[in-house]
Order: sequence, then C-alpha cells, then structure tokens
Amino acid sequence: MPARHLARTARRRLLWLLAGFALCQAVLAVAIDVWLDQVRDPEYTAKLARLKARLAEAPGRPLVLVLGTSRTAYALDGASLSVPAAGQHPVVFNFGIMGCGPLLQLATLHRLLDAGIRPDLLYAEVMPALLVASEGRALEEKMLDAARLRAGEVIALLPYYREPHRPVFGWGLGRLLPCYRHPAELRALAGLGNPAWGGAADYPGPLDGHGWHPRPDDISPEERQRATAMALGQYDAFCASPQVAAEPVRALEALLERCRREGIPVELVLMPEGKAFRALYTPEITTALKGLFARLQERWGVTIVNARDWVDDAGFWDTHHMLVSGARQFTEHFGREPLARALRALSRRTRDAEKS
Amino acid sequence: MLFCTKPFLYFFALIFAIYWALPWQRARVVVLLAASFYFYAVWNKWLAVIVCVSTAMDYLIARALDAGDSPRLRKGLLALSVTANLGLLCYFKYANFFLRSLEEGLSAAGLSASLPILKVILPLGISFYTFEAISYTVDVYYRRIRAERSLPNFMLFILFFPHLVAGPIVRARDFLPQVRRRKHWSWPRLALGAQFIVVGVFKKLAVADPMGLLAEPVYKDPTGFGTAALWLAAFAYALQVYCDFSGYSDIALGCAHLLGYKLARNFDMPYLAANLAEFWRRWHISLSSWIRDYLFIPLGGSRAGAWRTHRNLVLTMALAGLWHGAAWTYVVFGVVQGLMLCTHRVFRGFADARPALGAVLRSAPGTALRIAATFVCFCYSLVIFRSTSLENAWAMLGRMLVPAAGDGVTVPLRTFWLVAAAVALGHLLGQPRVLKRLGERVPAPVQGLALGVLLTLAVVLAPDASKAFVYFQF
Repeated sequence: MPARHLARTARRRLLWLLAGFALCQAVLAVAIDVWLDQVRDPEYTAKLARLKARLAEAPGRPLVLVLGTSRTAYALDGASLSVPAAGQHPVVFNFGIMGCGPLLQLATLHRLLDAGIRPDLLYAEVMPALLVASEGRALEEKMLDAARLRAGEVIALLPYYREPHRPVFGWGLGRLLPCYRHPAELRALAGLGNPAWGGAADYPGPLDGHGWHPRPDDISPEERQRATAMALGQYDAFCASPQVAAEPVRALEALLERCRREGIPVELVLMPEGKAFRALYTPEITTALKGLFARLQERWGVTIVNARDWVDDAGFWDTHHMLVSGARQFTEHFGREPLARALRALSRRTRDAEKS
Repeated sequence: MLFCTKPFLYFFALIFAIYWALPWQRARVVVLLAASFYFYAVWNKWLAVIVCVSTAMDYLIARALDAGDSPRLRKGLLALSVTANLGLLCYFKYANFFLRSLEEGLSAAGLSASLPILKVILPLGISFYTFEAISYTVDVYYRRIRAERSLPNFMLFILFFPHLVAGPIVRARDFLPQVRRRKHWSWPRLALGAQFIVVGVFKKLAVADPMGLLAEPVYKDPTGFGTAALWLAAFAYALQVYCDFSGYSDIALGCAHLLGYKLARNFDMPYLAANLAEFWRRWHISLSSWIRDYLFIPLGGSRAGAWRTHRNLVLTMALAGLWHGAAWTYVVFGVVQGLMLCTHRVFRGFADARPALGAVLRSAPGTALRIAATFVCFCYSLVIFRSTSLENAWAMLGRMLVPAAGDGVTVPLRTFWLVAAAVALGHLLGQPRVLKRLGERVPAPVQGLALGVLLTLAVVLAPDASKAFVYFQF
C-alpha cells in the first residue's frame, strides 16, 4: 500500500476517533438535557419518583409539599404527618434538596407543575444565608450546579443571577463532556452501579418514601464538633454580610407569584438552627432580614413560620442539620402548629368552594 | 503523575507539542530527557537524582567495558555494575524484607533478636530500570552491542518516561538505535499510538478499576466470604491485574509511538494460552524474556537434563516472583508457577508419547479445555500473589475448594460479567491475525468511531476514585 494512502487512512482514523468521541458527547448531552432526568438531576428524580408513588397510593388526598434545602431534607418526616388531621388526610412530602435555595426552588416548582403535580399547600424554606450576598454574589449562585438544569431552565433562571455567564458556563461545561460530568449517574442508569441518589451511600444517606433523609443519632462528640466547625466556617461570611441580595429575593418573589397565579397557598419557613448558628447573624443582617420578611408579608400576604428555635442543640449534628431526634421534635411541632392551622384553612376553603 | 489523570494529559500534550516543534533530533532527546526527569522528580526529586547517578555510572562502566581488553578488568567492571544495580535494588526494595525474615527465623529458632527497620522509600519502577541497566552492561560485556557514546542518549534509554515506572523492560539493542534515528512525523504511527492509548485507558479505567473494587474487600478478609464470592474475586483479580498492567503497557506504547518510538509489546492475549509455558510467553513478555535470557539460559536452561531443567524453572520463577515484591507471598507464587511449569513439562512428555491423547488435546474442544484449565490454574495460583499474607492465601485457597458459607460480593454481578465478556472479546479481536484483517476490512470511520465510543465508555465506567496502577508497587 503506498505511503500516501496509509497516511490518509491513518489521518481519517484519527479524525474519526475525535469525531466519534465528540459525537458520543453530543448524543449524551442532548439525551441528558432532554430525556435523562435521572442522569442530569438524580436527586430530583429520586424524590419525584417517591412523590408519584405516594400520590398513586392516595389519589384525591391533598398534597402538602415542602420545598427547601438540606436542612429540610433532614428535618421533616412527612410519613408521620400523612395522617388524618384538621379534617384533612394529607400526603405530606419532603422535597428538600441539597443546596436548594430560591433559584432551584423556583425551577423545582416549575418542573413539578409541568409534570402535572400541583400541591394543595406549599411550604418553602427560606434559609437566610441564601438571601444575602458575600463578595458580590449570593451563596446559591456559587453553589448551584447549572449542569443539573435543562437549557431552558438555565435561561429562565438567568435574571436571578448577578453574573449570568456563570450558569451558562457551568451548564456548557457539563454538556461539553457529559461522560466526565455524570459518570456515576450513567453507570446507575445502565445498572452497573449503585443508585445515584437515595441509596445506602454515606452522603446524603438513605431516602425514605416521603422524601426524608433520616440521619441516625449515633454521632460522636468529636464528629459533631468537627461538623459544627465546618458548618460555621462555611456560613460565617454570609451570616455576617450586611446586605440582602436582590437576585435570590427576586427568585423567591417569582415563586410566590407563580403560586398566586396557580392558586396554591404558600407559607415560608425559617428552619431550626442551633444556638451557635443563630449567633452567627450580625445585628445588621438580622435587621435587614426582618425588614425583608415584613415586606414579603405585606406584599404577598404570605405567612412566615419562624421555627428557628424549635429544636434543642442536641437535635443537630452540625448546628443546622437535624439528626433523627431533632427531626422528630421539629416534625411534631410542625404538624401541631403551622400544618394543622394551614390544613384547617384548607378545609375551610374546600368547604367554601363546595358551597359556592 | 498517573497516566490516566489530567496532570499527565497536560504534561504529555505540552511535551508532544514542544517535541514536534523542534527540528533538531538532539534537542528532542534533551527535551525528552528533561521531561522524563521531571516526570520522576514530581514524585520524589531525590530518588530521581539517584536514578540519574546510577544511570551515569552504568554509562561509564559500559564505556570502559567496551574499550577494555583485559578479561579480568572487564569481569570486574561487569561485577561492579551488576552489584551496584542489584545493591540499590536490594537496599531499597528487599532490605527490610530480609531483616524481617531473619528476625522471624531467629525467633522461630528460639533466639530473640530485634533487628532495625530501615526507613526507606521504594523508588518507583526500580525493578524495571535495574533490569534494563543490567541487561545493557551484560550485553556490552558479551559484545552483543557497542556501548552508547552519548550520555543523553543512554540516559533517555533508561529514563524515557513512558516505560520508566512500570515497563515494558526495554533492551538497549532495540531502543538506542531509535534514539539516534531522526524522527519524522508519521500519521500511521500517530493513529496507532492513539489507538494504543484509548485501548489502554479503557482497560485501566473500565475494567481494572471496577474489578479492583470487587476483589479488594474479599482479599482483605477472605474468611468472611462464601466460596462463590471467593472464586469471583479470584477471577476479578485476574482480570484486574491483566487489564491494569497491559493497559499501562498499552498507554506506554501509545505515548512512545506518538513521540516516534516503538516499545516492545508486553502482552499477547495471555488468557488464550493453552498451557502455562505458553502463558508465560504471552504475559509480561519483556520480563519473561529477560528472565529467560539473563537467568534461565545462563543457569543451563533446558539443555542439561530433566532434573536441572526443573530446578532452573523453579529457581527462575521464584526469583521472578520475588522481583514483584518483597514478601513471601510473591516468592511462593513464583515457586508454584515453577512447579506448575515442571508439571506441564512432564505432562507434555507423557502426551507426546501417546499420539491419540495428543490429538484429542490438540482438537478444538481439547484446546478450549486446555485454555480454560490454564486460566483457572493461573487464577487459583494468583490468589497467593494478591493475598496480604500467606495465612490469608491458604485460608482463601482452602475455602475456594471446600464449599463455605459467607458474604457475597458488593459490586453488581452484571458489572463482572460485562467486564469478563469485554476481556474475552478483546482477546478474540486482539489476536494479530484478526486485528490485521479488521484493520484492512473495517472502514476507517468505523474504526475511529468505535475508538471514540470506547474512550467514552472508559470515562463513564471508571470508578469515582481511580487507583494507581498495580505494577507501580513493583
């Protein structure tokens, strides 16, 4: 075979290797963005699957959905609240997602409504540290991995970013090399690995049928001390920041606006925090947050459930994430007060609607 | 700096670009030498200096050997080189092993002794470059090759980063002429190199690492697992060690090709071997051939009667076992391989004397049976090699033969079967005859696309925490 022909064949083979790899990435990127929710956002998919299963078991029962961060995910035992109360027999589902601030909560609500899941009552956690800015950006803007969002969701969330190029870049990077970005999820999809979310892995731990991540109480004092120091270090700058960031507040208001449009009653929840965590807030930011909540109440007529001191310090493993004992304390209080009140209101509205 | 990591990718891309941008061959040698030194020094700069010093010493000794006429002087120089190289190897790799063994021996004899434990770091790849240096001085001594006149060329022969830490063990007569030759950009060579790299990365990330996850917990505590899990772990480790090491060799060959060098193939579908002698001709070929040329044949090889042949086989295999690591498990593994080779030799004589039996064994079903038997025997004996102690090895080997209850493996079985099927397919397609035919008949786009898919699969199937190559420890 002439040398020139060999060189041409070799060149073509090399180019096709690169093209083959690029094609695989392109196909995977499109599939992940359009169809493979369990690869793109396994946490959301795992919760959605459980939620659908609960709704299928109890058709016609009102859905009480709790959106929030990891604080919520570890805190609310929805199963124990899914019992007859205040004239209702609700399905209470914990849709707490790790790092899920106002931006991801907004995206999550849109996704659920698009999937035909319309909550009868919505609780949305407000984590103060996610509403303030440090070094010019809100915390969620730094934390939220845009690769877990669809292209359309990224575009929809751009107005809520101070630096809109960041989510675009993060999303683009995730789609550029999806095999590198989502290997564990792809393995799980092919049945070659453990479930990408909600399995028995160390983090974030097992997920129950109502979306709760129960974290057992068996924590050593050293472990608790280490975790607490880490949590305080992580949020120190945000709790000491003097100003509320405009972008996450706009995202929160967009959520309230969507709920109003859909006729979904919504309440905001300030989740429990340990004494050490509560001490992080400076008087300036405390005042600023109080002002914000007053404005939100006034503008949207929304109830704010202040549960910050509902749980003893022993109920946390790192002064803001709850152990099972803390979660039980919180869940019981939550069911007894705000949920019972809201369910009574829901019953009234239902009766009024039936009458009219 | 591991081959399958981003730092190596950036490092190699930079070296590749600089190397081919330079028009002068000598400058390219210097660049490769500097890159190789950096590659080693990233891990430990002092040990990199030691390797360089010992290499310079071998260079000088070989020059003196080449120039010298006095047999006594030449013998002395050869002894100096071999002693220095083996001395370094023994000090770094075996000193603590010998001291510990001596201490255990003394205490078994009722004598209490507390010998010191040396605090030494095992230099990466010392077993590989020591053998390369020894083969070089021996070849110069026997005047099979001339001593290299250029120090940079000789240093590149020892330090060339693709083969530095885990082989293949290169021979001076193969490598040094390539260093002297001016390199020209070659697309076929580039395509071949890329193909080797993709296949190597796939073997390492998609096969070896997941199989390691299956085997590791079982080997850690074999008494906790049932017989089925133990057999599965034994097979998984056989797949792991093959794909890990041959994957490394493939990447080394690929990188060398991209730089215009050709290294010898280190594996030739070993699990298709129909007997153990053939297996060792296909497995870690550069070590097997080194042992044959510089140990087995000088000891008399197979020319001095059956008893001495068997003795030589056991001795060389025991030393080959010890070469792998400073532990009795490796020595015993080597001895067992030697004994199995002796058994095969005796059986071959027995079968040769019975044409009917020979014909049955050579038939297609007979060959399949021999391949399966060789594979199972190797996997079973490999338990000794992988076990953390001889006690663990005996416990595992015993439980593999006598059905025992216990835990199952934690990795999904589907992973194991898919990997096993991939290795079997690789063995079938990787035979030179089949490979040649595929290369000729399958269009270039299909070949390229297949490699692209393979690369994607490698990245997807790699466990989250990828591990260092198994042979780095040797």
